[in-house]
Amino acid sequence: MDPSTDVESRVSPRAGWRRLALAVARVGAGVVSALALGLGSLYFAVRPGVARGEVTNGPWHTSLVVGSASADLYTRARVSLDLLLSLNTTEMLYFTAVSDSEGRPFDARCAYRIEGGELPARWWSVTSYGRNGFLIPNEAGLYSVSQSSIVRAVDGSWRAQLSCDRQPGNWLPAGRPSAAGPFTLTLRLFDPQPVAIESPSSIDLPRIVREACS
Amino acid sequence: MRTTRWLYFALWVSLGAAFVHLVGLAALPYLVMERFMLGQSNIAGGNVFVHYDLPTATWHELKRPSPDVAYSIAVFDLSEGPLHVVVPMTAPYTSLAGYARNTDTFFAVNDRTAGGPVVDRVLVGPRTPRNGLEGQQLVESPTDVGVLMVRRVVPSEAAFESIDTARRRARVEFP
Repeated sequence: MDPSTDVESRVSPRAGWRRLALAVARVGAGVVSALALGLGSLYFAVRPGVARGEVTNGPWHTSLVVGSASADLYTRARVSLDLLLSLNTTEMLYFTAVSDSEGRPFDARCAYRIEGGELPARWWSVTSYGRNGFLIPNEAGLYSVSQSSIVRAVDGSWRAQLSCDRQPGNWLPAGRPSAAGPFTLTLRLFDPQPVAIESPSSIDLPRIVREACS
Repeated sequence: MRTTRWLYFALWVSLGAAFVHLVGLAALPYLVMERFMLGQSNIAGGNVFVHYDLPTATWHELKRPSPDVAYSIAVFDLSEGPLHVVVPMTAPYTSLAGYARNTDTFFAVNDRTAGGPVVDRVLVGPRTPRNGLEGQQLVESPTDVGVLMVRRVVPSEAAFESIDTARRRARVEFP
């Protein structure tokens, strides 16, 4: 027997334990790192607010696979967090806006004007939501403007104010500027016309114009 | 030697992270749906419609609710047999939709496509025997448990009472 090999093979118990502890620590660090990276990247990919969809129309975004069996894993996961139990496109189109028509992210310190006309659906509504995805508390108890509630001009067009303080006429709450994060808007087209389903990126949707900021 | 060891470590961590990411991604809709169904079942049990008032800022049953819609929700369980679902339709818009355990919409009908003032269907699961259901309008759910949701547009406060009266005639029962 080679004397040097014999010496190496006779490791002291303390060195053996140290080697075992090191191996366990390496495996533990690997598992913790994999969990942190895996769950962190998952959160980043599906965190609330990122379910904007693959179709863009001005400031509005929508997805044509929401609620359908053809939705990919990411869409399905985002929908489960942001739009659980949403309807598929033949029944409802959901357009979300997180910025104005010039692409500037919403800011509750600013007032906005939403301008629109007739929309290609049996019924429609525009609703504002806080960062938590729920309706924004306000003394007036108003949360949306809709085909039934909107006051129109003679030509059928309409305007609504979007601001933190109640305004006369058509109005949507934007929440307090101190609230964590910006508000978002959802435009719903109930029972949309075929043109809206076939060409959601080219139908006329409301414009969102930023006015004064405090 | 040390560099190679670190590269192997980084490779295994990356593979592990990708595995965790994909498993979490696939499981998330099921977990969210299970939590939702458990919450609804705790309110009224299974196979019963719960009729909610119009959502306000304090209504947190669902994210991004429509404040103009009166929601009725039933968690269904087809493990003991098919279910007879009857839902009266109201103007200006009503829809009935069925959701599978993974959140997919497997069925949706509205007051214009329903073919009458009342939706009358028999809900069956993947393992439900079809004996005795001939002649019925069947709706097939891909999973034995899931959610039925009725959305009714309420165009004004004044309209709520009559819509609420009509929706309380909705029922889920064993045929």
